[in-house]
Amino acid sequence: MTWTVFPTVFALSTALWGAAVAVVYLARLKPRAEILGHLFFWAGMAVMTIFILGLWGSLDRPPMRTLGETRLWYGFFMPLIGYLTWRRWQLAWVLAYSILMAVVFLGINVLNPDVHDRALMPALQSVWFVPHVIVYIFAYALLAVSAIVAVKALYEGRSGQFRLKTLTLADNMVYIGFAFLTLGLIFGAIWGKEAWGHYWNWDPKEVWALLTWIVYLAYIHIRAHRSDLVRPAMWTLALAFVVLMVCWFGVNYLPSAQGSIHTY
Amino acid sequence: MEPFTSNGRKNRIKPRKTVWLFPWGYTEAFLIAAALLLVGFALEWVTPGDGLSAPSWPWNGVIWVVLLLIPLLLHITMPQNPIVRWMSQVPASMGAIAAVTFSVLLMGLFLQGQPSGIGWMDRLGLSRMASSWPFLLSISWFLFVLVMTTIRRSIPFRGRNIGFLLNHLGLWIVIAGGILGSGDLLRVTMTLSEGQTVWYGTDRDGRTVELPLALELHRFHMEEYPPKMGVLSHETGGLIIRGEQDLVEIERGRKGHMSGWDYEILQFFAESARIEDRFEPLHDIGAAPAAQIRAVHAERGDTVTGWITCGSFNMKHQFLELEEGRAMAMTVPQSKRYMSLARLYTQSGDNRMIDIEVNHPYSAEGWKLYQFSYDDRFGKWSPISIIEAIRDPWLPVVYTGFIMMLLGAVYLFWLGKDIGTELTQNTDEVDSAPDAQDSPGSSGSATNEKEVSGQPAEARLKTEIS
Ligand code: HEM
Repeated sequence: MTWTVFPTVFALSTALWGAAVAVVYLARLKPRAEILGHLFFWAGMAVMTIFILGLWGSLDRPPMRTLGETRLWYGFFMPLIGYLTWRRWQLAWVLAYSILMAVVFLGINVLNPDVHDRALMPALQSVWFVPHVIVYIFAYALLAVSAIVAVKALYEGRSGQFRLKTLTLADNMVYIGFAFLTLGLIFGAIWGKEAWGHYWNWDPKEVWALLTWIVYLAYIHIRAHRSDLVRPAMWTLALAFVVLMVCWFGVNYLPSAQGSIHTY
Repeated sequence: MEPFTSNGRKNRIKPRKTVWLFPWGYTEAFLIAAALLLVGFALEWVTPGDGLSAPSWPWNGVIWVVLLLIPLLLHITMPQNPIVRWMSQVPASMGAIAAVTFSVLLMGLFLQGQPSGIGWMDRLGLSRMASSWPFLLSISWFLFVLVMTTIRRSIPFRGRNIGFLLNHLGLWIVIAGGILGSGDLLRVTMTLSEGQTVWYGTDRDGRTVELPLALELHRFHMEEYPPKMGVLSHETGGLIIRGEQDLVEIERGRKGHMSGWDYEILQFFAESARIEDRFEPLHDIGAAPAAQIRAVHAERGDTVTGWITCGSFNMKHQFLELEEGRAMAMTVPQSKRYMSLARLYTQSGDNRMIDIEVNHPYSAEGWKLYQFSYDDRFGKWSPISIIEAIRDPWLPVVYTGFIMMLLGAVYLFWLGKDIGTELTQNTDEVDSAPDAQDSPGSSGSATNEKEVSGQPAEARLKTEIS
């Protein structure tokens, strides 16, 4: 199987996943219909799996050498993580959200077939690259939502409409997002050991990833310790996202980043 | 069950407490954190040098044990001492976390590893925070508080604390193991040339380190991606790139349009040599890729045909002049993968061919061998290959911590907000000592009740946040 069939694969899995999301939302009215949602979801996963395995076979190597190939893996694992989160936490929108992200990644491969051959430098050609990036994308996505929830909570507080549900949602997002942030740090460290010889080099990107992680750590402990300190906790959560953004985009503009190994 | 209820009125009704009067809380925590940083910077100021480094075996092992023993002894001998209790609670943790965050923030803001040239900044250690006193003091305090917390929650052990233990002890093991282990970390580079046997490496200070293994380079091997081509502007000296179509991978038969010219790639050789005014395929040292291009100006219709090459260390590059100030040029191909094929000899008598590739280190005799570098003037024809040999005997310790934290993360994902409930139930038991109720720092004051003083939790929070 090669990239020529990919547009069909894409259309098929998108349709199946889309149907799954639709059913999951509709099934809120009719719980028994939910089983159809699972079926559609797993059918979509099966299509992607068959394509990846087929491509693997035809290339005679794991498809992990080009950016297009790595996007294939994002498109495979994002829905899976979203599905898990939905099953565990009944957060249907996380499923929808992660499927949307997967479709965007896979869509780039359809619209821009040229990029399939775009080179990945040797250090990036690692089995750890994909898990590292996937868990980070997922963590960032959830933590972005937690920041919105924090702002909502602060707004609610100001207008006297504060709801405990908002707070619970924020905590939930952070616990899940923080778990994935931790996975991302550790996968990155293990990859660093294999590629660059050490698991921690105090590279500016690493430093900011650590700072991001610490701020969410602080949030968790403030919440666990003094659940009455709602306002400071929500401010911490909103601020944490600013640190996250610096880590994501801003690092390259800091004086500390001259000569960073993270060029992406 | 709603875990996020307030921890009760009592804290807020209580009159403000004087600093340093027991029980301690956040104020004391932040004062101590600030004091540690100040002392650290002061030490840095009065003891100029190139920074601290961890002691090597056995002293790092001794420190490891001491770091565990002191908190254990404190916990066993005086568990009810207010300072001992305070050190295992969130306020002290937040102070320690803040101090570490501050030093890491400095690391994240200033360029590390080379002096800034600004006298006072370098003297304070701001350009090498990771080996500075303020960082050492804050991370030591952090580790101390972390292990105090872990001990208080883990002795006696209860099954439901497993997630807590995995996260907190795992993190402690990773940080303590990483920092102390750096005292035994050896990193040396071996420069290999074909046919020579090398059994030593050079460390960063230029010292020679003898190794229990030897490498004989058989061949350095590199695969490259096809080169790309684009239109060069002689004024700027750079390629004119406005979009995807302006820098394309070279392959035979490719047609396209860039900067006003329609082109066709008539021939392409990945390795070739110049013979008079043309190129012929040739596999030999110094061979370079070459392509024959025909370009037709889209409006004027004038045609140019000729060869381009990016050249190599012994072949000059060649452009195809299109018009005044514009030429078609080839970029140097990027490496796809590179590796050393070498024979490995070990002290234990092993003798075999191995390959060492980027991202695929080879382990032997307690060392890991990494493809590190090559002579980039020669590119794929590099006559030498540089291997980095690394010995990190503490790696299993750090990886044990990683595994614990991975499991801890899974636990966190799976239990999510329920953990909060668990905390409150748990600390109720731990903090049932008589003094627990007045301690603002004590998490024991967190309750699980939905209502405190007759007010529903939600309504109460509404008043608090607004
Ligand atoms: C991997 C990093 C960490 C994670 C995931 C984590 C997570 C948590 C969670 C979820 C709680 C509340 C629920 C529970 O007790 O199980 C907690 C409590 C606590 N954590 Fe952490 N934490 C981490 C690191 C730290 C660090 C670095 C410190 C101190 C420097 C710390 C100190 C504390 C303290 C003092 C408590 C309260 C324990 C008690 O009162 O029993 N934690 N942590």
